[in-house]
Amino acid sequence: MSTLLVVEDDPHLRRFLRAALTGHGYTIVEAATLAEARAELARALPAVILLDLGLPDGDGLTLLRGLRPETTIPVIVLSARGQEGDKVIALDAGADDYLTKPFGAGELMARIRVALRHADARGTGPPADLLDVGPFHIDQPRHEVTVSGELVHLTPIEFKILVELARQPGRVITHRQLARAVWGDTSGDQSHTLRVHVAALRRKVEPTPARPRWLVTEAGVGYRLRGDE
Amino acid sequence: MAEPPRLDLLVCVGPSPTSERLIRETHRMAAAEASTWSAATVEVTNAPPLAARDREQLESHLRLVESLGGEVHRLHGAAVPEVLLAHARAHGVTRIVAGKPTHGRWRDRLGGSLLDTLIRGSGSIEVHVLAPLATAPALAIAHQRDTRRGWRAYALAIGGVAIVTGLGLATFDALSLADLTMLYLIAIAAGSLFGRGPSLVAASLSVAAYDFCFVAPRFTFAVSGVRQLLTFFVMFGCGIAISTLTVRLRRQERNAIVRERRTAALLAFTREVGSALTEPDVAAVTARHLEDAFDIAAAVLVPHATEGLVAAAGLGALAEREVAVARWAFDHQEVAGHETATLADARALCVPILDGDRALGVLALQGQPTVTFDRDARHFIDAIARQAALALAHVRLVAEAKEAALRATTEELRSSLLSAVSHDLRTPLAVITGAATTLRDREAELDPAARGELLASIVDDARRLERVLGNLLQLTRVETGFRPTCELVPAEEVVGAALTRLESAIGEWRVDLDVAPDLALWIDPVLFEQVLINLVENALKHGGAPLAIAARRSGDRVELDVADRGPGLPPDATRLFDKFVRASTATAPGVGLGLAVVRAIVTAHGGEVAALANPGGGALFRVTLPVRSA
Repeated sequence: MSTLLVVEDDPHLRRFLRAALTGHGYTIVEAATLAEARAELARALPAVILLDLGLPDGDGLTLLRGLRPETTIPVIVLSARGQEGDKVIALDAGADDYLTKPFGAGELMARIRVALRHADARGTGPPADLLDVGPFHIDQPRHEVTVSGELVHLTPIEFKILVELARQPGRVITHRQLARAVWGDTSGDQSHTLRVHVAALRRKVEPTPARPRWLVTEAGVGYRLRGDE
Repeated sequence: MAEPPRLDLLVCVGPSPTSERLIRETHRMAAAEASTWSAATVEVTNAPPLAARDREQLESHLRLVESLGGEVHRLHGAAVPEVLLAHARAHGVTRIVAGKPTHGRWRDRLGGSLLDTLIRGSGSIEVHVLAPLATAPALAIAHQRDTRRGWRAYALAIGGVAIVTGLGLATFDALSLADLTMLYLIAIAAGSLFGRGPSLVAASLSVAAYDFCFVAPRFTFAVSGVRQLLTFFVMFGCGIAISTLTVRLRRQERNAIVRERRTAALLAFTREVGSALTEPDVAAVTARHLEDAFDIAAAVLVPHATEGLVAAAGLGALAEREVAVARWAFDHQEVAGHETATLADARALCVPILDGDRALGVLALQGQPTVTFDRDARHFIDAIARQAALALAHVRLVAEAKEAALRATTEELRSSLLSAVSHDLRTPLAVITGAATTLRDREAELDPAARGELLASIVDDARRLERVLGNLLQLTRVETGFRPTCELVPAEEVVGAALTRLESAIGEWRVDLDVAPDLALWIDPVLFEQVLINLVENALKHGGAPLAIAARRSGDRVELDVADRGPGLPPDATRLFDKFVRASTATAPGVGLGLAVVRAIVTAHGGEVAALANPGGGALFRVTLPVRSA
């Protein structure tokens, strides 16, 4: 089964991660510092990296920036609530997802599964024309979206937003990543415009837009399209 | 990915003293609209080199540009306008600031006006032309204008006498000597209106001309009788008397104008400095008013904890020596520098800002070396210094009071935190420790139901701990001066995000939603999510199903309601928002921080929160926020 690299300086959290992850059949390699993590990475590449941002010999972000764009190993950042800014920086720097401490084992496993799935999907050639996530069926060439079998009419921008989210179901996409996918490489802050389009999209695909089931908001970070799990 | 730096404003700099004002004005314009600016000077090829004094002036202007944070471009070319425009186009300049010429028109007729060519060739670039002195004439340099006007006065006095003499010669046969005396008196009176000097010139010339041309023997300066001497004496006397009166009147008039202008300037300054809230504001207002009043560079220096005296505003090109003068003025609480008893050769005049026996800072004024500050100007500067002292003392008091209040809040928070840690945090820890050790030590003896119970209590109380800590963290952040970073967020999205995070806690509870679809809130999305989470958790804990969340616009406010159908509010509902207050201690665990956090965050957003009775039973918490559009 897959090997995971855990970069975390707190021995207690490492102990919990070791117990929980080996219990689910993963092989664990541990590193308490950036230096140890680099040494482990030089030895063998893991399938997923769990990365704490505050490490004794530096910021976990530097490790992340060293990995991108040469490698696509999924990186899940471990951080505390109230550090939304750090999460956004990490995600924009190429992290795949984040877990807010404290987190439960279920949440941890779900994120790792999503990360592994994306890592697999990345290897298999061009992106699919047809996307199926939850009740959504997206036909990219025909620009058609059905929700639970019903055709929904989306504006081109709403369509692009949905496609970007559906390409990586379960994974959080930051405002900046979404804006780049929709408008290209733009420098201005378009988070407000983006919010308005997402709100419009939600009204078309969610039965109760103020209590979304699929297109959920991660406050201060971005959006996530939940799959079936 | 940032846009390439655009240089919006370009100021043309030369050796003329007007340039200094152009630079300051451009700097001010750029600062007011947060655009960029630069300065350019053009050296014309084939033109005679500048005089040493002009070159020095030009360099000091360029230094001023750099000290104000502007970029300096030295250009070369055959004609100033063409070179300037080419440079402006190349750098995306949108506006050029130039000075009105101070020389007469004849030079333009000869060489073609620089401004005309500049404006004609500017195309889409705007050209701003600033007059040499747009504001009220400076108080300090009024005397320069008097002397210039003087030459014209002498010419007029001489001309008047010449006209009278001509008139007398033409009509000599028809007039008596007494009539001629009258005519000369008119000329002397007219000359006297221009001041003492022209009056004496007019009187002397009149006496001479009268004697030479009309008094017998004519065309000699010989005087033939006492009557003539008397006439001369009367002419001189009249001249002196009238001119003395004129001079006195004029001086009074000028003093009145200066005083009036000074009073108005002081009034404007007092009004503006009174509304300044911080030390840099006070310093900026003071420096600006001094610069406007005297058309020179002014700076306000205040003591800094580590770096000694530093300029808090209006940083001109203050050299080290000038700072040393300011230091002396500050330490000795006396005026120093330019034209004073101490360090008179310095270019800057430094006036300490005194509050009682304590120096709060120093005003430094620095202009061309020729600028002098007369008695009136010094009085004005002293008055400004006194007002600045009052304002500085006031903002310091306010800052100290604010700091004290913050310290008190922090202190209060610390003590409540201690009580919370010692009492409320230990309870869930006790549960977790107890349950976990039981599981570890007696796993074999436990039946599956008991084991499930213990595991559930570990999970529940760990979550409870996390909630308490999260709330404490938010409360500490908001109450110790943390400023929310607000954005315009759809109300649906905030409500949705909070409900998503509470999914497992809400479980099967019914939640009725009535959120206006196009309603947007001006909020910090992360902080405000906590408001909704805490209100909903509060309703889940103390209220009853179903919950109702509503958001609507009401006039210039946005109302956000979280209501339940539970037992309703306790009698002293306003205390609910205090820290560590619980509605019903017996039934629900928790430290009672949730609503305190709600109030702290809502207050930081400029809003209010109220606990109301839900019509039809239960409690209703209403958050009211001001509306703001993007």
